[in-house]
Amino acid sequence: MAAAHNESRRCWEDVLEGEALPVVTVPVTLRLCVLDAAATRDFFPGHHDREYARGQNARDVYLNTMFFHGFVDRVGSDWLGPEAWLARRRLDMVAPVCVGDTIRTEGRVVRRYEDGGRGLIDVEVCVHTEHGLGAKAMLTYVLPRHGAQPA
Amino acid sequence: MNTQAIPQDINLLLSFGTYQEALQWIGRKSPPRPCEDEVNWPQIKYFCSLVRDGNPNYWNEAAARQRYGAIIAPPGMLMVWQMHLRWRPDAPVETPVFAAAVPLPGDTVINVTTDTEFFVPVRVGDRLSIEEEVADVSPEKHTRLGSGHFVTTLATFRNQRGEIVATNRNVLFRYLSAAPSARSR
Repeated sequence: MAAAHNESRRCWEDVLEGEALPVVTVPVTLRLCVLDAAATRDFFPGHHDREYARGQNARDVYLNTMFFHGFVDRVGSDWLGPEAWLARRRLDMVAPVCVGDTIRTEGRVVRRYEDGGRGLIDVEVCVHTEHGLGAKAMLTYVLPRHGAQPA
Repeated sequence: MNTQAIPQDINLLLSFGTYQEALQWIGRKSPPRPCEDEVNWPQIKYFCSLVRDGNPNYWNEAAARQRYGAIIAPPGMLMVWQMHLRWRPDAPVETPVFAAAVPLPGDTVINVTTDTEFFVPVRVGDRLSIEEEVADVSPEKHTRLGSGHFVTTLATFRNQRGEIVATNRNVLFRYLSAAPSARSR
């Protein structure tokens, strides 16, 4: 299991404003939605009951808030490594992301700055599907600094 | 699909009322309540496998111990810890979302935005509690999904030492669905 872990460490000094994050694509299947409901203990019917979801004017069963939280955080931390601390996350869910859609992320560093001696970056992650923008996140990370001991 | 046999299971536990009644709820706080389970590694792994997060802080005990003293929970799990069981032997099922208790006409909900700040790592073994406050209820708005009100709540999560581990400002859209299938639930 350990072989798959990303132990690379991206320091604040190494990050550039405007830098793009690797694109992540995920097909949204009914199985993914079922796993989502189970793993987040969220049995709100819009996430597993097609008839209900359509009654809500969604195209089909759709992913929940906690999926987007975990997913955009993963997009950020896969790139930054395990020493990045997520200090703040703002998430706007623009339209339901439903079974049959394919997620495609677009991430970039929008700001690199210091606050009280800490090195911070803001990373924007857009979650697109073939129907347009599904969700948009702004992630604020505290990063390790050059020369500093690993946290 | 047999949805008639267990109507309680699909009941959204919403409170109904007018916008004027909802406005009375602004500033109202939920009593602090403990989250159902202590923060635990099996649930963490289950969640990480959903979003395919291989961060060693969640999977590798030695690496996590060196950095944080224990395996920590992904920040994305904050709201997972507040989810309720669907049944228990000793108490009625309550809504896991305080916003659902705000009386409004809408028969369904969809979550819209979250703004979450993280202050302290959440470690395996921690016992979190949550306190929520209704911060705002918007006038009626018309969206692609339907017409309704945006309900803003502020949640504060504390650990067993009373430290605030995170806060979350959540906006939920409470609306009247156009189709009858959501209304019948």
